[in-house]
Formats: sequence, C-alpha cells, structure tokens
Amino acid sequence: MPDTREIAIHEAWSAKAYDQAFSLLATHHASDFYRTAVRIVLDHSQAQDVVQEASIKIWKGLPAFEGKSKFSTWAYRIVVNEALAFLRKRKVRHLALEDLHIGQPDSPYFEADDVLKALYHSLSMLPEKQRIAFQLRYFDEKPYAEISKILGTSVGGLKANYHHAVERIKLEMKRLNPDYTFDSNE
Amino acid sequence: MNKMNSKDGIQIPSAAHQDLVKRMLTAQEQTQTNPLFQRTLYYWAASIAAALVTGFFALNHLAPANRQNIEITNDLAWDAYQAGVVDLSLEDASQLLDNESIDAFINDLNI
Repeated sequence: MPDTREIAIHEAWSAKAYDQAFSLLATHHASDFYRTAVRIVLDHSQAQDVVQEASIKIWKGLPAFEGKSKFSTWAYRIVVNEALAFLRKRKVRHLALEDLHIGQPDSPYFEADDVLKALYHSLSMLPEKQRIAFQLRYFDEKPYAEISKILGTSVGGLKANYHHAVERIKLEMKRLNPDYTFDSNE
Repeated sequence: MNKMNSKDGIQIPSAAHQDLVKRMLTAQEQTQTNPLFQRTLYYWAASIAAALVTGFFALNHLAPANRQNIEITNDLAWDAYQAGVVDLSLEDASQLLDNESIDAFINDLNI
C-alpha cells in the first residue's frame, strides 16, 4: 500500500517547496519523534529539546536530502542521533537495578502496568544498540530494513542485536517475576 | 496522526501533538532569518575578503626589499578596499566589519 504521507512530502520536496515538505513531516511525525526521543533520553523536557534540535537539522538538511530512504526514515535517524548525543552529554549509560521506575520515560504522557514497567527496566540493562533496535522493532513495529537505515547498521547485525535483546529481556523479566510468560514469536 | 494506543505506554493527546508540531515549526522558522539579506551580505563580504587577500599578496610581492611590519587596522583595510587596491577573504571581511558598518554599507548600496 503506498504511503500517502510520504508521497505528499516527496511531492513538496520535489517542487522545492521545502517549507511545505517540512510542515508535512512535522504534522505527520512530531509525536513519533517525541516518542522515540523520550524512550532514549527518558526525560520529557529533554525529549522536547531533542525534537527541537533535530528539527533544525532536518530543516537544514532537507534541500540536500539524497532520497536514499523515506523522508521519515531519514528524519528518524536524525532524531535518534540527536537523542543519543543528548544522552552522551548527560553521561547516563546504565541505570540502577534497584528502582523499577528508573529506565522508564519520565513523561506526562507515559502510563504503564507492571509488565511494561518490568520491560522498561529490563531494557535499561541492555547496551545502547540493542536497546534502540528493540524499541524500534517491538514498540514501533518498524521493519528491519527501515531500522537498519535509521541506525546505520546491516540488517543481519540488526537482527542479531534484536534477538540478543529479546533473550536478555526475557531473562531479566523472569528474574523479576518468574510468572511472566512470553509469546514464542516475541 | 499519532498512535493513541501504543505498546510503549506513551499516549500523546492531540493537543500535545499539536504542541510538538508547533515546536518543530518554530525551530524551523527561527533558522530562516531573512535569506535574501544573508545572501546579499555573503556576496559583499566575499568580495571584500577577496580584495583584502589580493592586496596583502600584492604589497608583499611588489616591495620585498622594503618590507616592514605594518599594522593593518580594520579601518586601514577598509580604506584599502574602498580604494580598490586590496582583496578580502570571506573570513577576513566578516571580522573586519562590525554590524553597524555592514548595515551602513548595504544601505548605501541601495539594494
């Protein structure tokens, strides 16, 4: 099925109507950019800053966009990189084991049951690449090919990262609560 | 527009989505500070820079035996440019001119 949003952005961009292309990108994806950012930086106001900074880079880069991927994929990549840059500046890599709340997004838009809290906690135990690969695949349900473009990794490497992430998450969640069960395909 | 029932527990209401869109558009607008003015400025700054650099090379080349250490002030460089004997690089020009000078110069050009 054709992605009508992507087509509309592409049409505006092709006509050099960069304002319109950017406006469409923002209208369609602002929430998804925030969602991605806050899951990485885990802080509401910092996630807003990430979206803002990424917006400037997206806008400046729009005329030079090479069309090697979808606009949204390219923009996601900028948002992820910006979020990781924020995270590195904060020098927060691993979060404490003791507190289940750590590892969850600190956002007014976040609500979770115990299972989801345990999942976020388990995610916080993962290395950066595995964590983001898992988030994009499991939470956003993005195809491997798109995630590989967002993260700049091979599809093979990405699949390996994802499956390692799933195994480690299962182990950690089982440790937290032995009653947790998992679907065979998750 | 946005996922209201997400697997990640992040439920973004419509008003919050609009706020995020507005933030993105504001960030974009703030980077668009009068592109025509910027292009005009770059054009003249590049010309001035090229003139200053050419002038320095010409002075050094023409009078090697009488070379002395001369302090080139901003005003001196500007006068040299206006007299048409020097060329400037973009970086040199941008350091040479303060904001008031640039404004006055462009106003005088009546662009």
